[in-house]
Amino acid sequence: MKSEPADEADRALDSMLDEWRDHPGPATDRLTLARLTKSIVSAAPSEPVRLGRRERWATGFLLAAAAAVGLFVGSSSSFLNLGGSAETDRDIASVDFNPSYAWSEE
Amino acid sequence: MAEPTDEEWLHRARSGDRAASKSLVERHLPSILRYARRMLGNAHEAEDVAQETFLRLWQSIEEVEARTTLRTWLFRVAHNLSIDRLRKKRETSMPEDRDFTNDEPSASQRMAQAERALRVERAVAQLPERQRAAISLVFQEGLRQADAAEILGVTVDALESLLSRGRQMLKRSLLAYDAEVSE
Repeated sequence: MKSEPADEADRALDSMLDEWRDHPGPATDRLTLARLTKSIVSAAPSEPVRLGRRERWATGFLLAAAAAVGLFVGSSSSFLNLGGSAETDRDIASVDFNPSYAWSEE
Repeated sequence: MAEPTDEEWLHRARSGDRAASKSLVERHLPSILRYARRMLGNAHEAEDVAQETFLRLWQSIEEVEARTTLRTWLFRVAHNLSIDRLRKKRETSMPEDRDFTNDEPSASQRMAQAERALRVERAVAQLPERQRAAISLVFQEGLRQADAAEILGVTVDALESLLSRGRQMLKRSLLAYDAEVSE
């Protein structure tokens, strides 16, 4: 079957584009690359980089969350008497909770 | 032994290992330089863009997203820097200074194949900016369409449309040249 002219044109273009890919042009000459590489690498980090914004934010968030939990536990411990004696702890544990009391008005 | 991946080099570069940084540059500089040159049509400006692209990498090396490949990231930065320069040129109405005439024909370019490649290069240089970028990324640099679309900030459908229009224009200009030569 004879191919359509459009197909032939496409094939010709594909072939030219392949050749183009194989001949990237004069911008890649070795001297230019070597000079640029040297210049670019001289500006590269020479010691470990510090944390990025995102990591710093995440670390800050975790610290803040830990501090908040610490404050809550600290303040709760006086309310719940978490740091109290074993006897007090037993007293707290022995309290029966009756939901009906929660809403009763005295 | 397999060549380390970009991620491995990046990890080492982050810890201040300049040999790793050099490996990254050697791996990606040629294609970034080629792309910038194609977009800008000027070797010196392309070198500036390539240098700036890598300087930006060093500046934000700890933040280069893991979800995108380094190659895509570099092309995106180089593309944006090139577009900025083209816009500034247009704003200041500077004349186009494409320096393809400075490309002295080398021995290899005297071969017919290299000559055709040069013709394609010149035809691509005449394409509108976005078509030129799409054609270069996909057909010259061999990027996947999804990556090229990400670099250009368009959908894959829009990229396909750019490629299709670019191909049509290339066909017209290259085949018209062939017709002229054969007359």
